[in-house]
Amino acid sequence: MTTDTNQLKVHKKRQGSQLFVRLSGHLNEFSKLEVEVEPGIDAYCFDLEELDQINSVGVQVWAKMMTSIPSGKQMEVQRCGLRFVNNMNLYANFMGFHSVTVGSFYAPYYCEACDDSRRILLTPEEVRATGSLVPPKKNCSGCNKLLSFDGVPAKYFMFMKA
Amino acid sequence: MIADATGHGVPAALITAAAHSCVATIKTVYAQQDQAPAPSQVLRTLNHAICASGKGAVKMSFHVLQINSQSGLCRYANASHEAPLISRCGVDQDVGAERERDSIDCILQKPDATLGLSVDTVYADYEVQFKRGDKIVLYTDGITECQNAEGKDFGDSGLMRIFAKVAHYDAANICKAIVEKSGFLSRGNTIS
Repeated sequence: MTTDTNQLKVHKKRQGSQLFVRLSGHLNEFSKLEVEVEPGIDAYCFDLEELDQINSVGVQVWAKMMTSIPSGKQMEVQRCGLRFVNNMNLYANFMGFHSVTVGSFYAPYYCEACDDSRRILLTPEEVRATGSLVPPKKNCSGCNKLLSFDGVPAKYFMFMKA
Repeated sequence: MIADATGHGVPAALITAAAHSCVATIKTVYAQQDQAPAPSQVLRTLNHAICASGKGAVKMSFHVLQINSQSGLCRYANASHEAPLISRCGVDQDVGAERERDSIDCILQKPDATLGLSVDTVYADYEVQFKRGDKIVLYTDGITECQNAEGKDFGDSGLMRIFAKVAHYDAANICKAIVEKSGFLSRGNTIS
């Protein structure tokens, strides 16, 4: 039987009425993803920095987990990776029926001088501040030259459209 | 058309077979009529088939494009599938000339829900105008999720970069270049 060498790990920490959930590894057909749904939890915050991969089955696992959380809760995702953002843009039901705040997310940039890709952490606020959902200007951490956005902005920032 | 079932193995294969059969039926029915069905109608019909076959357990992304070869008008509908890439050929540009990275765009609208989620899903039609020399690439995440030896995703970025370099090739060679550069074959995959 095939298994995943980097199985999903779910780290949870409750602080008062908030549940912080940090995911690491791969979200796929081998993943078990459940969060506590109990009285007293009003807000859920997901840190996705270390979520390396999501495949199409992982998308269903995520959406099912989101659907298990009752409506009316505050929901936030932070440090979303490229694949997570892609899935937010692709799947209408990806967040269940929740209105989810995206606190921050990674975006693809490219350094022509270093000939290498860069992942830059952005906030929706700084993208909106550009006026028309265009990528904010960023510099390479290696050579300090201006990076180019390595995608189609209208596609990548689609999740920010009303 | 391009489609991708969720997951792997027998359930995904069965859903793919059901979709294939449904598409064949649609082709047969509409071959006897003057007008092709709207892309949204194709998705609506397929959605019923996938809902009935998958029973909510297996879903499928699907993209349908119809291109009028005379006018260049393309009508399309999208059920949560990756937006096809398009390389625009400049007005005075030779079709066979190399293109810049910024010639690449997406055939993009916010996708409707994946097939198999609900029989009530409504699919919309959109239009985009193609011009002489424009090239499009339809793909699945099987390409963009390929990883190189360092574990880096080929990604949308890698796909766009290689497409820009080879967009002046013919279709078969564009396909060949993308498959080679993505590392798809090195994972033991085959192209059929």
